[in-house]
Amino acid sequence: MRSRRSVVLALIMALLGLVVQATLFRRFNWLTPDLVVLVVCTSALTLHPTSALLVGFLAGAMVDLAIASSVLGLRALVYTVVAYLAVRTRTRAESGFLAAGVWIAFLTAASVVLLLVVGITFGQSGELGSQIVPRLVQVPLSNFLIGSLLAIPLTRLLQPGRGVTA
Amino acid sequence: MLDRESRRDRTLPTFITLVVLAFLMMTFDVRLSGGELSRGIRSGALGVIAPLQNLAATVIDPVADLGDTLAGLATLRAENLALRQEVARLQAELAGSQDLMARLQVLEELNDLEIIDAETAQVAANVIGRPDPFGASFIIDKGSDEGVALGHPVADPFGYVVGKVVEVSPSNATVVPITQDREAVTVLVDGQVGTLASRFGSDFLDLEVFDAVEPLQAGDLVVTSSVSLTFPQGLPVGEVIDDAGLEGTSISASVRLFADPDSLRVVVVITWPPEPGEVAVGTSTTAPPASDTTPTSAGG
Repeated sequence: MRSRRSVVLALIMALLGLVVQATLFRRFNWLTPDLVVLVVCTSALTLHPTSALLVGFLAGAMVDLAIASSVLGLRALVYTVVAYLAVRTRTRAESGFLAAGVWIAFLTAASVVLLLVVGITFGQSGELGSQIVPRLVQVPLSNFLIGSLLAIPLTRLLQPGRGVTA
Repeated sequence: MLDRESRRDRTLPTFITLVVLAFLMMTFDVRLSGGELSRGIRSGALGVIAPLQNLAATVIDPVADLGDTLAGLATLRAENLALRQEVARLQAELAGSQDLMARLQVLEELNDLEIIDAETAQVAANVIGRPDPFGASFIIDKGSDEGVALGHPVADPFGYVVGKVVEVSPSNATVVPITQDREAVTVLVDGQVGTLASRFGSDFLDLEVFDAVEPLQAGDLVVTSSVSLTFPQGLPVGEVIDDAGLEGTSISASVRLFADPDSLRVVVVITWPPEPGEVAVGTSTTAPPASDTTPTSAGG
């Protein structure tokens, strides 16, 4: 029951992340985080592995629906893989906020590369946008900055008493 | 500190199931390519997400605008002076245009011409969100309730082509710029019809003219063609950035878009093509340019 509530809470956080990234961060060309990936990574730190995978899949599907030009399932696939990688490597993020930030940055970079590869495979190269090359660096760096600051509060919000220690 | 439940580990089977499910979703979506079901789900999702974005934009935009204004105070005076000079220049240009219009009217009357232009309604809309950190598609705060429909062309406030509407809900719509669109645009450049397609990872577009008769030069204006199915004719799109010579009977060139889809705050949705019955009889009297009559299959 608690697990189900945590999944719903993580999905609400992913939705809020999507809204904030679409409104606030669209104003900055230099700070372009993928907040949904951040939520997916944080879920992997606190939730049961299968729940974290479910959060990755559903959050990805939500983003696919929000981006009308994207093929449905593209980000669902990418974020599921990210959630799986996060579940398998989550011990790397345990030592503190900086480690969590670096860990999130690496997972974000993996998500961007995977998005690029699968997107091109499914004929989505146009939809990935003209800024894809700079974004390969900007998005992981932005997620490192924001992840370092928010990873601990987010894990505590998802499941008090679990996740990364300060 | 981590979740270490002693239950049987079902992570890998769950992962494989979800990956297969995602691949199936992608395959169906690509195969159906915008079918009714997919469109209905997306429209419903837009109906949920867009109001939240609208609310967030209402809160965030004034604060961010205030910050921008404070940051740009030093340059405002110089900008104001430059704008005053621009206004003076445009007023002089307008006076010249009015004279030309009067002469045109006299000539039309002399030749007994009846040129009726199809009146196209325009809906101004605010850009309220960009959900994708990679792509340039954006959500606007006007939807089907204001007359916005699927496929309607979108221009920036100066009338330069931006893209087209790909998703509509009653109060919002999603716009994909032509720099990201899979479909090419049929354009006219230097009196020759060509197609303009997006280029992966670039702000420039690829122009192909297949029945070319003369080379293109840097700075040549690219406008939408009368044979375009998705844009009304004559809208400025961009300019050729380098000289391009003939290769047999075709020309390939790079085009820079006039509009900047990444920084747009306001756009204009053009209600085009007009609903049947809205177009006045005699629209066809607006003759297209002589070479602008070859239909192309690649572009829309």
